[in-house]
Amino acid sequence: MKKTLPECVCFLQAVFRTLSPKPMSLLLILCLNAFQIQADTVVKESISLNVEDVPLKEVFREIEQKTKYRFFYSTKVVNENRKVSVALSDASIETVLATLLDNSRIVFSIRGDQILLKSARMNRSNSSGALPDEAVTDSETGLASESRKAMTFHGFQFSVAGKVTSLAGEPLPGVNVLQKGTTNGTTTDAEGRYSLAIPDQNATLVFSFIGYTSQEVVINGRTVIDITLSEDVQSLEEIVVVGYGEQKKVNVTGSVSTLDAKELNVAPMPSITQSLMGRTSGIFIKNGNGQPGENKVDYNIRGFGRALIIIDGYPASDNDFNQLDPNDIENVSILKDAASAAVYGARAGNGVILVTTRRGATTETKVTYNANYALQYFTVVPDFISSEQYARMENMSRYNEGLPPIWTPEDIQKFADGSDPNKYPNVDWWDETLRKYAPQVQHNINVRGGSDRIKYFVSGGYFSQEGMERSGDTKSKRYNLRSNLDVAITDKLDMGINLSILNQDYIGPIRQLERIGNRFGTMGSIFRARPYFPRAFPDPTKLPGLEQAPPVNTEIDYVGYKSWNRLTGDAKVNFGYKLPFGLKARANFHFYRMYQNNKERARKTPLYNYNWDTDVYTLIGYTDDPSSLYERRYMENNLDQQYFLTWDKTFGDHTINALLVHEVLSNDFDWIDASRIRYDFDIDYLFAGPDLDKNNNGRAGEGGRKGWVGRITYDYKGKYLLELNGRRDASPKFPKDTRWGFFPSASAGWRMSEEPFIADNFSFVDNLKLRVSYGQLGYDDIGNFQYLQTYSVTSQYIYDGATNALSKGIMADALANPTITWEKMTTTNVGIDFMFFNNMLEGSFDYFYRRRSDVLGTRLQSIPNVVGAVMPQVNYAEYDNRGVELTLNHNHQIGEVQYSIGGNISWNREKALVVDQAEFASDEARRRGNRVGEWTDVVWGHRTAGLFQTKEEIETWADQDGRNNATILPGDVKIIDYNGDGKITAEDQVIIGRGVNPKLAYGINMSVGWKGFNFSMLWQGAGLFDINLRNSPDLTLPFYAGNTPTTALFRDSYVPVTDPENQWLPPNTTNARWPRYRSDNYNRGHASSWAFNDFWLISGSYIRLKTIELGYTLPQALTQRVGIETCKFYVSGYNLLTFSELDFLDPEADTSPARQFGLYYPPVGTYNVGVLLQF
Amino acid sequence: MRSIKYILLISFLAFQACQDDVLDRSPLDKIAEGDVWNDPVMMNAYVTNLYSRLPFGAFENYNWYSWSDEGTLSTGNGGALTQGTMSKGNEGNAYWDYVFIRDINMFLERVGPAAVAEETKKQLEGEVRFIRAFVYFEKMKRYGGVPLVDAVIDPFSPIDSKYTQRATEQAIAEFIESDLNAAVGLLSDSPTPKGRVNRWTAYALKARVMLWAASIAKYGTVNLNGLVGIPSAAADGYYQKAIDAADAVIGSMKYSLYDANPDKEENYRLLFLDEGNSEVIFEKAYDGTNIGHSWDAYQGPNQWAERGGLGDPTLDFILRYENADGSTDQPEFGTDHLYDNGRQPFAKKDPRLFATVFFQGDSWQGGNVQTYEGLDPSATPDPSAVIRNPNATHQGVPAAGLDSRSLTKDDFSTNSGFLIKKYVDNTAVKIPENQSKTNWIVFRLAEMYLTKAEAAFELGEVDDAVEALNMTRSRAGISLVDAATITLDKIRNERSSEFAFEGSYRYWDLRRWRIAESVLSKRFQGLQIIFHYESGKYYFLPFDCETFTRAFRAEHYYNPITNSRIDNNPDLIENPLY
Repeated sequence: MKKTLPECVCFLQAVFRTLSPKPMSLLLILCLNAFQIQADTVVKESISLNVEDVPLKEVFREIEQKTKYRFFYSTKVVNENRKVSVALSDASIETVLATLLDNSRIVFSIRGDQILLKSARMNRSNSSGALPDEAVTDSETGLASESRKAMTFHGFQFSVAGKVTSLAGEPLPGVNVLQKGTTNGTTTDAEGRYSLAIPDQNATLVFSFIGYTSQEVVINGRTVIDITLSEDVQSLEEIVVVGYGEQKKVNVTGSVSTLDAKELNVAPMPSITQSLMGRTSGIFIKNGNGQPGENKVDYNIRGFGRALIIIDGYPASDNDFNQLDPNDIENVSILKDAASAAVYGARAGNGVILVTTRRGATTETKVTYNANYALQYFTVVPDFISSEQYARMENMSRYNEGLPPIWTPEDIQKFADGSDPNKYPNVDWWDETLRKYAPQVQHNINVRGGSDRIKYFVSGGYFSQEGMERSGDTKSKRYNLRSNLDVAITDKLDMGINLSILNQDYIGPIRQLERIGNRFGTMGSIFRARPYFPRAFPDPTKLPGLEQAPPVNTEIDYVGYKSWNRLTGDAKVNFGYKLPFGLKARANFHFYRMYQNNKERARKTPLYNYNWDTDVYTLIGYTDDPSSLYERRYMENNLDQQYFLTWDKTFGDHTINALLVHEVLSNDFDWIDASRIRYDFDIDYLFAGPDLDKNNNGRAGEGGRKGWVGRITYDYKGKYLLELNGRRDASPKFPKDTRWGFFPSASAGWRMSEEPFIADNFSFVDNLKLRVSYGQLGYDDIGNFQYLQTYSVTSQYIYDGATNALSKGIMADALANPTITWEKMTTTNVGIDFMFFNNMLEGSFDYFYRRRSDVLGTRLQSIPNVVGAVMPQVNYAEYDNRGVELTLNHNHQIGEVQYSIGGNISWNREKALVVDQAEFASDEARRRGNRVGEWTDVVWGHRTAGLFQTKEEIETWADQDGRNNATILPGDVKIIDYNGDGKITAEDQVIIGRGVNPKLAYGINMSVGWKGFNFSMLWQGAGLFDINLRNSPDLTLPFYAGNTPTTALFRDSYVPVTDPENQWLPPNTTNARWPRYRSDNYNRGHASSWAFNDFWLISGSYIRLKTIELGYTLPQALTQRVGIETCKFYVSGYNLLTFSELDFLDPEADTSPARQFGLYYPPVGTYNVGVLLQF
Repeated sequence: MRSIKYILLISFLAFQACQDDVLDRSPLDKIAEGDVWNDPVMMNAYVTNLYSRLPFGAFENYNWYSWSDEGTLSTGNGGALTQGTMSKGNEGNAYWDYVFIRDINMFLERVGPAAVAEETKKQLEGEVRFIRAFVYFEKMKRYGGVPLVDAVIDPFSPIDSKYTQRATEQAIAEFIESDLNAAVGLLSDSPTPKGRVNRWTAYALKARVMLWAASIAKYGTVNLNGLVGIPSAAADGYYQKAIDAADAVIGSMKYSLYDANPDKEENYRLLFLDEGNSEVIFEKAYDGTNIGHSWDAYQGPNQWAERGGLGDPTLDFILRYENADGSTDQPEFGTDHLYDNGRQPFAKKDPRLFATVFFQGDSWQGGNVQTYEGLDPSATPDPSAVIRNPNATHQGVPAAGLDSRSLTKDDFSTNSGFLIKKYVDNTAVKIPENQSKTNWIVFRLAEMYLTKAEAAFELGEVDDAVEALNMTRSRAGISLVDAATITLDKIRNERSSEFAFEGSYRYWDLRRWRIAESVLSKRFQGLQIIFHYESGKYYFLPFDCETFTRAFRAEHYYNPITNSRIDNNPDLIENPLY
């Protein structure tokens, strides 16, 4: 028999070559299969079939009704909706199948009464002409041959049986099970079960299935082997969600990054955006702060502005996105280029984040429970100096200014020996106020299942996070419920219902760690409190002042609270209806309401000073004066509709998909707030406050959008891909004349791997696709109604000081711009996707160039300001961005060890092309002022040359204080006189660095699985940005506003050599990292040392171990006894290790000036333990 | 099942019908242009906004005293105006608000055709002309001549160079004068409410502007073809106009010098707390809730203030007060001179001093102000033995007072040993920031007398000067002058004593008299107040209360136009010497 097979193949090859002009490869598969089927099947049965333009699956159903055959296939492989036409009478099943699957790149095999459909790609080595020996052929195809059957029939005494399931626990039918190195094999049945006779007890079984990673298992004498196959995420068959639809990844011609939701569950984080860090290319994320309930995260796509977020088809807010339960997410797609985002028109210029939630499946009901408990901790904890060091340092600083010391040697001695802890305490206020760990808990239970008619996914989640304050008074909770139903009402009409409710609760002390408005933050108090302030006074009811004792800030009982509740209800209903000619209609409706309720209660608690000698308490003030209660109600509604018409058609080698969408979005908001002050009672409602000084306010707004979306995709033989997109979009932000815009884009792909010259010569290439896209997008995320001249109520004034009656003033808003319209962005994207060595190496590379025109900006420079107008935003500026992105992944399985390693790296930068710029009066003015043609992220400032060491050096140096350096002392920063005119002025400024946003972001992903164990690690890093230490004076300027310096400042600051009497600290001159300190840093004009210059600019680059996970799944054999399908335990961590030049702050820390760097809630890391159960 | 599609179709159509207007939105929180200019309520609200933006130089702008010789700041008093670093790249005390000018001009252009009662229009126009004059005066004081914009300019068509180039300083003075003359004709003569401009307010501003213009003409130098400076020939005319305007206010008999309390010190203190009293011509009102300030929180002694001790009178300023009896001897300091309290060395001084400045031991709200910064435990005074640690005590007596400069290093306490008392409310403790409600006096009658005194003296009308000057001197309770003893110095010094810490009087006086270079280029002093435990008395050690020598150079009589303004508008010419 071994010889007959190739001969037959050759024979048939010859026959078909003469009969048909079709490409050889495809033919060969068919003929080979046809032959094998004939050899394999015993029973011949003739079928008559006459259908026209009917979906494949209906044909299958008909065959199933007429015959004993049952079909098995993965819907990922077989497009069961493909329309076919067949007219055959009394044909064999093979003929029927061959006709049906002609041109489909699907091959079939028949085993008994099972018909198995598979992708032809698996058979490429058969079809490539150079047919290898039989063993290889069989291991590749898994097809049984006569000889193999004979072997089975001959009945070796040893056989292996078992069940193959997916990671989710679903049985996998049609999995090839093959004895390695032989042709002996079988496939699994509908329940995923298999049985195979084996001649060798020590043989190795190979389990393979399309869309899943193959596994090899040594039998080792076992008779039952159950296997779980993990999905192969790099599969060619992967489906990608794109705007208003989905596509096979291989057919995508735009630039789309995708993320599998499974990755998001590793180390649960308070917000989804945090989980995305480092996981995919093209998205830049910065973890802003760790405030429970807020967890600010900055992110952008390709360095652009705010991206559009779409959840299940509709625009969503940042909060909706961040608060999604990761267990509810199916996948996330990031649309990066114009071609993929164009369908979102005027909003999508900065890219789109598409989130799809999970839906039901046609499987038996699965209940999944996922719970974890985490401990949060601050990634960087500053180390403050002791009381003794403080006293020494302060005396030193006074000495630097020529002032007498304030602390006597006796004082310092007492601080040092701790003999009088009442009067000479030594307190670490960080430790006193903040705890080392704060808990974070997450639970989720979901049920997924369904039948042909109804599929459901219902999920409930709970998330809670406590603040790092020792008081434990800060608590944030989230409850979420989601129910996604898909109902087939009739054969033609289907309905989907997505309901989701999100409830968020927050309560915490009114003084947060971070400064909010005028309310000083506790973090600031910690920096301000000095180590020699007492913890408490003898009378515990007499509280020390806030700056004197930061823990008071953290107690709701003392300072009052701030609480809010946000309830979001979201209902999406859609109806789909199948029309003739491959047309489908769909109507989607969306109703969304967000209701938020804020309450802030400030308590007036007296604060005291205490004199230990005289035992006298003096009132120094109140926590808040007057006491107050503030409430606010906010409501936001969205009412949206979408109408789809889709058309899918295949004509021979040509496949066309067309889409037409009409979208109408409308939204409104309304808020009202009220407050009263000077509360006498401790009743937290407005009625209890005095009628005097009542205050209230309110505001409302509305918006909307209309759009028409069209898309046509064309695919020739799966080789040449073309996509045309367009959206006609209107926004009420613009006047009628400029309201409508058209945003076209086109993209094309060439799957070179399908060309014979690649397929024939480079068999290791599984996929190689070149793609290019070009298109125009808009961006309209700007203020409303700028085309109208309006007036706002802005100010107040009292005419009569006797009655104090208040009058409100109105003021003209900025000049109207009657021609305002959106910013336009033209993006070109060139990319290549590749997959080599049987999925072992997969990756993609993208280059993009985006040119923004009509960018809105106010003309300030080019119009003399004597005009005095608040200039309107006009569309005039131009910028361009460029960037590259590279993703590489390697997957492999060696024995029972499955591993993957991958990474992504993205770079981008922006240049200004046209900006508002006046004529320059001089070359120097041009040098400093010109921004045209320059990178937009550069930072200008003075260059420095370290610290002054001697008086002589100061005298000969350029005049940097405007007073011939009379105010400069050794230990101050030396500024370079760039233009050599002997004076340090603005004219000496040069480009000294980059901005605060990383231009380079990367992630490195590693995972290993062995038996039940899995281990994964994600490193994430960013680079090409700077951190300005002047934004954190509390950490870099000793005694700034009376702060307590860190030990780093104590150790590393410049300390001059003085007479022994005043040498409180050992001299530190040439090695000093910081300038000499002085006690009057706050608010003073030390232009030399404390002015912004490159001395204070350090590279922000960092790399950190973002997440790490170790999990163990108990053997199923064990867990099934107690009815549990899967039981997995895991430990994980978040932000565990960090490498950065910034050693006293988290490198991701928020740098926005409003929240002074360092004086806010720093980002946190976590240690997690969790369990995942599946029934 | 078949009917489902019809139900869907109908609901779809119904949905469409009610959603058709998503593109026709209007702003719900804005007022349309057409609704403003024919409605007296809206026009009044427009003017209200202009009032709220007037550069009053009130409590919010506390720094004035720190730029003049009156005081220093607990925060160190650095900056362009004190350290002499004002340059074309670094301006201090800038005021170049052409946005405000545009909004003012917009009103003046729209008020004419507005379909509103003439009476209303007249009053509002008068008020707005006053406001424009006030604003241009602020610019003129800083820059001399500035671009004179009296119309709403369209930014999208070519701009006439008369708007982009600087007018001469004299042209600005004349423009201000003409606006005020017009305002006088339009405005009501009712003296109330005091936050609204009336005819007398317009006269008061005119008196101030004319005195300024006269001083510039007399003491300044004409430069840059008149962009800065006023020809000296014009001086006398302006002095006369200042007198005339002051006389108009005085002669209206609507106002009188506050003299409600027989105790001269207390009377003068209450002048600033007794709101809306007969001396007040124009004030900025505060209610402490919607519109509040932080004077009490910042300036009060630490014991009673939220923050405390920000503004600190210098010893130089205190010594300038005349002795009430006309003698000229000054107090003596040092370890040889022990006093019972902080006031005693200055006991002979003008009573106004004690209503203006806090001294060690002053009683206040049931306690005593304690600004002593150290305790000397030695038998005979010995400065080297002084304990300054605020946490230390000696025999149960704290080593440093609760309001002293040793108290903390948080910049929350005096740097000079003195604190500001004027305007500090003695009826409430620890008033939080932004919740003080004392009204700020912009114009009071005393200024009219002192303007008249100065102008008359400059014109040689000595008798008129004597009469006017004695009005405030007698109210203050110090010796009167006569034609023989009156001097320019006495007139100038009287302004310092009368208007101390009332915003910008002193700072601008030093500039218009062109004496700032000599008065301000020095190192200012404070007093270390030491409690001598053995004797129970105090001694005083003068010391440098600032860490640097202040610098005021000739170019600083005008602010720089600055590089950034010239970059924006190359028609501007920089002021001399920058």
